[in-house]
Amino acid sequence: MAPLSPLGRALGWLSPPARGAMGLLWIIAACVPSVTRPLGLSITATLALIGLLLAGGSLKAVGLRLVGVLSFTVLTVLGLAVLPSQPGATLVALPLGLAAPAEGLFFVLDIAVRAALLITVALALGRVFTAREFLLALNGLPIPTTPRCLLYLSGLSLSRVKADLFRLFRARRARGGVRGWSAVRSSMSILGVLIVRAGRSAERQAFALQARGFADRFPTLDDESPSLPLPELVVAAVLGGVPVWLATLA
Amino acid sequence: MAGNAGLIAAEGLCYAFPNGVSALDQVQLRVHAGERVALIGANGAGKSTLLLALAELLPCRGKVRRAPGCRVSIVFQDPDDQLFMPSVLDEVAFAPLNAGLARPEARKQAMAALERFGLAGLEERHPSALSIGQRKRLCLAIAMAMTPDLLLLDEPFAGLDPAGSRELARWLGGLEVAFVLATHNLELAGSLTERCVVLQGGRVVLECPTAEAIADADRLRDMGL
Repeated sequence: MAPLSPLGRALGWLSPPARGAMGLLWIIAACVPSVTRPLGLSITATLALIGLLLAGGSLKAVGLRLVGVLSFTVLTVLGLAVLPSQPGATLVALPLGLAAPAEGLFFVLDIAVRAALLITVALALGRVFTAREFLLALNGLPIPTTPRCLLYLSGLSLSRVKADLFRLFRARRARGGVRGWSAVRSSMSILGVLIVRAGRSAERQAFALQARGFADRFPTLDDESPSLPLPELVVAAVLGGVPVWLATLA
Repeated sequence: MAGNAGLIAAEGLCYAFPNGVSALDQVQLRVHAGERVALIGANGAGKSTLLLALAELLPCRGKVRRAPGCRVSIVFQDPDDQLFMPSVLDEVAFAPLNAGLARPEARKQAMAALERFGLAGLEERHPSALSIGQRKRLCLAIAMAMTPDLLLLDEPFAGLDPAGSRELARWLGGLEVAFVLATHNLELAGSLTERCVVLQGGRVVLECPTAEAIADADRLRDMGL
């Protein structure tokens, strides 16, 4: 995880669990906006971008991650335009003389918009926490044991999968690279390799956890306070709750 | 187990992978307190599987018998598979804390283990920020923080340059516990262990003093070594 950013330092007086609660609310706020509620959507998008920039994140990083979202959106919209729609459905005109049902179109756009917001918020949050604070936040929040462990291990494996992905793409470039349909096919193979490797790595990690007496928790040497102090909880609720409310504005 | 029975004994261990390929076939192995055993074999001979079986991490046919109270620690080949805490100190304290030790004692134990393996001063670092040699030593510190009677080492020299291997061998040489060392490095196996067990196709094909095995180059070559 990235070192602490200006936003991280500004929020540094909040304990990791309080920041974790606030982060969870930010994630919820990113899932609420809809293209049918333009005010809430534009406010959330603005807040997400401000948060990202204050956190020291880059728009380029967001853009790179939006490629997948964009491909999904284009392909799904094309599918909607090509497949026969229900009789009586309201159609929206698209470029190239195509038309798609409004209901389906808004649904797809909502997914795309929320995915883009989630990416932006996740990148900003990644710069608000160090790896250790992330674990302290999880340990301090009232999350059931299994989801907590899964969240931590998932966060951990993301960086490993990313490193693996870069190595595989570098290997592909070293062999001359591919273009067009071949690139899509080889990307699918790379995805398959990644899944197999992630499975093997998870198996070895499970052995390591078992060998080290894993007992459904990732304890740290810092004291884990059983409950959050009330003032911190109030601040976290306000800082996280206001964006959720703003996102619902029509 | 007591007396001649040893610290740990594998009796008729058999294991097959889910695809049906046999990895261990009627393996017999006994390790006594304080003994150092090299586990040698070509790639795919079953060394790592045997270590997992000895650590009772694999559901095998046959038996693994441990002396009463015998604690076993394992160090995996790839350090990244066993490092999952966000700081070096938390990593070493993980097992003691999970064993129910109070935080001050766990901290003390972890600090002592780090100091012992030359990692003092790196407590707050993220494990991924360490060099490969340091990560290997961290894995040793993690294993030793569990105060084992027997250490299982899976290719600890893999990925290290000759100087790094020699340095790690120096740390291993200073351990006071019994260990089983799976390795391809015959030279270091010879300097660190008294006895060696050679695996081929999941079976024990040779068991003799390490120096004797290394001296018989023709036989080792026949075994794919």
